[in-house]
Amino acid sequence: MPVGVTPWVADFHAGDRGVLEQCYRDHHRAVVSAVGRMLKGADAETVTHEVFYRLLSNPRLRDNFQGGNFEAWLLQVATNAARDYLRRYRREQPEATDAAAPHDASSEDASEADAKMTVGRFQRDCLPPDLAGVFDARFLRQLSQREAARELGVPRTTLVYQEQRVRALLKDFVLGAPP
Amino acid sequence: MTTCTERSRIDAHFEGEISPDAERAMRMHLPTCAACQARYERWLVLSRLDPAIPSAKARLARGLGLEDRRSVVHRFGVTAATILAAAAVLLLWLHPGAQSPGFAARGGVARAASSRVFVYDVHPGKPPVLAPDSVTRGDELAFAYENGAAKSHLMIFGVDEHHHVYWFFPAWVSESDNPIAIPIEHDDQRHELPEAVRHDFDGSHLEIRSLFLDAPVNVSQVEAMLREHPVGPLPIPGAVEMPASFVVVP
Repeated sequence: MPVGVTPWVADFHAGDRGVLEQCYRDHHRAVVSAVGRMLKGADAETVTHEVFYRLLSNPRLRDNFQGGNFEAWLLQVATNAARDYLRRYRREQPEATDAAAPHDASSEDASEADAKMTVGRFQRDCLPPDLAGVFDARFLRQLSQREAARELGVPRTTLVYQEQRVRALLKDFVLGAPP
Repeated sequence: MTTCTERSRIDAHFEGEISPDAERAMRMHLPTCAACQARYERWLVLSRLDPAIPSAKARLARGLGLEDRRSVVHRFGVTAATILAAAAVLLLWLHPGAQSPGFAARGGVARAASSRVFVYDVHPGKPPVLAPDSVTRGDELAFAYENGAAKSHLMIFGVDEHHHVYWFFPAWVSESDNPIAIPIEHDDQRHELPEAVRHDFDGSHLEIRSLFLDAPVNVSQVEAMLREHPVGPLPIPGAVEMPASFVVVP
């Protein structure tokens, strides 16, 4: 082991599986946050995957960390990856459609609004009245099944059955909707 | 909108069933395909609504070939009260002093004593209690598991003395469905399965059988095997089967 390199850093450089898994668990949220300052939605998740994929598979990248604040180093890697993604994307897809274009800073609000609009349309156009309570309790307020069954006054087996019906309807509605 | 051949990988990603190689291919493709980007974005909307879809952290972990041992709660409209209530239920159920109700791995299959299932009797208006050797007719049954053998899927069902089969996990509520084994955590921690199930048992003896599997099997396949092998373990390679006998109390 080189002088000044801690055992943790040595294990990290060697690609120790346990160390790398711990890196993912401990720093996933920070990487998502850093990438999220530049990209949203599918683009952000793709870059987050790229950062950890490279961390797992690229010894040369890991060798660049020589000690100190690991999260700061990783966030710099993530920021660079997001910047590279934007640059590469803009170069390769100058005629991209809006659906595939990277999001701007306001797209999080747009995503929230899109989700709320989807809910409204689903409730208005697709959700049978007898399933409205289950949708509200389990999908909107995300109560546990136990709490939802108690609140709705139905056996949990009935709730599970109704929830499956809502899930199938919602999936068809959201994934089948035009882009 | 056009349909891209890569679309099934996006679906597999959100269903928690994608392999690292397929995830990598999907990630390479995604920025270049407007149709797939649009589908991914719609899945993201769905994931904010449906609590059954794994969190982003869990999805990416699966795509990287990692295990996400912690769940992240960040759902649309979830409240602190909900989280606290769920935590209270878990504390109630998964107390470390609970003893096994007598499950034991049996022959012909890979043996791994560290994978096991715990049965809880949920009597109306009372807290769940670990079922020792009997269950009360009409009560809900709930389950928790430990998966030290790191199997990927689990099935739990009961068979009475009349060879009637009662499915607990996966739930089988429609004859037109053919549900498959549920995916489970790969660690040796104890995990509560999220719902209790009630059946109207018509026998006086119930054998609850748990199958820890390396790959998903559907309920029709299991029932066919039960007809051919009414006694003894089911011939599923690599499976860990844990039977436990209970008296059904009126």
